[in-house]
Amino acid sequence: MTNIKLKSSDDQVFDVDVKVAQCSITIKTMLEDLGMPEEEEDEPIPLPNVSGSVLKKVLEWANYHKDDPPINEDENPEKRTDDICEWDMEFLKVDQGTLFELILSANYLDIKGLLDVTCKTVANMIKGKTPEEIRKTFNIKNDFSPIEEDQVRKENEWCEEK
Amino acid sequence: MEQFPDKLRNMTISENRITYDETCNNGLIVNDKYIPEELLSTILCYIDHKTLVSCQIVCKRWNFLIKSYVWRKKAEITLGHALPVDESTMWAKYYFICDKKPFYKNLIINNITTLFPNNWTILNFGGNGWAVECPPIGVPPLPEDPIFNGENACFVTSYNKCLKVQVINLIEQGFSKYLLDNLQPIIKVSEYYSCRWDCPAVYNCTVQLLKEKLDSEELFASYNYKKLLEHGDQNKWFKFEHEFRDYGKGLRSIKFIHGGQDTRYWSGHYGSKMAGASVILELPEFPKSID
Repeated sequence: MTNIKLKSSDDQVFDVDVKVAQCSITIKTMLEDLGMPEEEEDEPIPLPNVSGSVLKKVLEWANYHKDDPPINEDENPEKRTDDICEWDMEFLKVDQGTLFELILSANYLDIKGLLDVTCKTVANMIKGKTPEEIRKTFNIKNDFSPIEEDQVRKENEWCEEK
Repeated sequence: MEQFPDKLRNMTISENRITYDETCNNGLIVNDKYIPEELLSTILCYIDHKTLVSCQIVCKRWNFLIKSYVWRKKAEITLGHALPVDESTMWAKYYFICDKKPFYKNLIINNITTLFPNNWTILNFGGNGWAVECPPIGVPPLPEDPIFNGENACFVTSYNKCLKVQVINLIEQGFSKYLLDNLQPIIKVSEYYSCRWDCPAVYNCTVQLLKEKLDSEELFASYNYKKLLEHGDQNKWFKFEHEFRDYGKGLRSIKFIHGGQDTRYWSGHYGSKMAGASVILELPEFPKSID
């Protein structure tokens, strides 16, 4: 079993099984371009966009899912959000800050499965909420003027089936 | 479904766009984390279409992203194929695609392979009655049109009155009462018809818009089309088309009745021919005030 070293933005170094690290297409491509590290003393791969605490979570996820078959887009064409596996549900019981950090990292590291499941989790958090509740949830300011908001609401009435 | 992209392309409906300050990050800072536009769009694509409507009111940036990208993307996912990028397409069209409302789809089931069983109910079986011809006899081949679903077949009438009907229950098709009453979808009806080179014939078609169920049906709009095909009009395919708009509240089903006969009382099937009957509901222009 070959291990490689990954270095987070806050200089934490993780010793990781290559198979786990290669869940990240970004790292996989890097390794293909740079060649596999041969010596234990090799410089760790720097990941300046991922903090240690988040990288730890990402690697925990990747370790559990390392043997998953590659995601087939056709299998979930409609982006269902009710098919998150139990382990992932438990794994993603984190504060919202961490959840969005995981999304950003999954995006940067190009880990499709993790991005998929974290986006689904966000979608499930929003599901059925009113605009005001969504703003509160994510700390977003309402920047519509009253006239503009009224216009948008009028358009939306099209879809409100009673 | 194949016609869908073309239909969408033809829609040129202006929608008031709300502008936003591109330098402002409001909406991109989610929970104190900066989420790039592309990534936020990806996340929004996972949101169910009903909640996505509410997301449009969250802030200007979300409104813009959803209208300019997310709706189309979600519609494409629902349909399973790409749609043309068209800024003028109003988002509600995409919403109704996501909601699987059968807009832009022929609601008539033609299935011209056999008369029995068929989705049509025969009202009159005059002369030698109805028959199917595959391919059509005594006339040119059918024109190129996706409405035929690749079938090269038609119905043919005889020397006495032949009539049949197909009823479309719009509620069973998936349209809600609210949607029918408030949106007043445009109803486009059409059919191809012809008669043989050697025998003139009459073609007629009646389309009725009905309220409520069949047993207590109430008619509130009807369109009758009749054409005598003789001389130069023989041996050609014609298409009649009609549009219903602003028909009022209460529409629940549509009756499509067609038929005809030849004018020389020749034994056999020398009457008018028809194929590609179609009833398509389309979204009207946007916005429309709702009471």
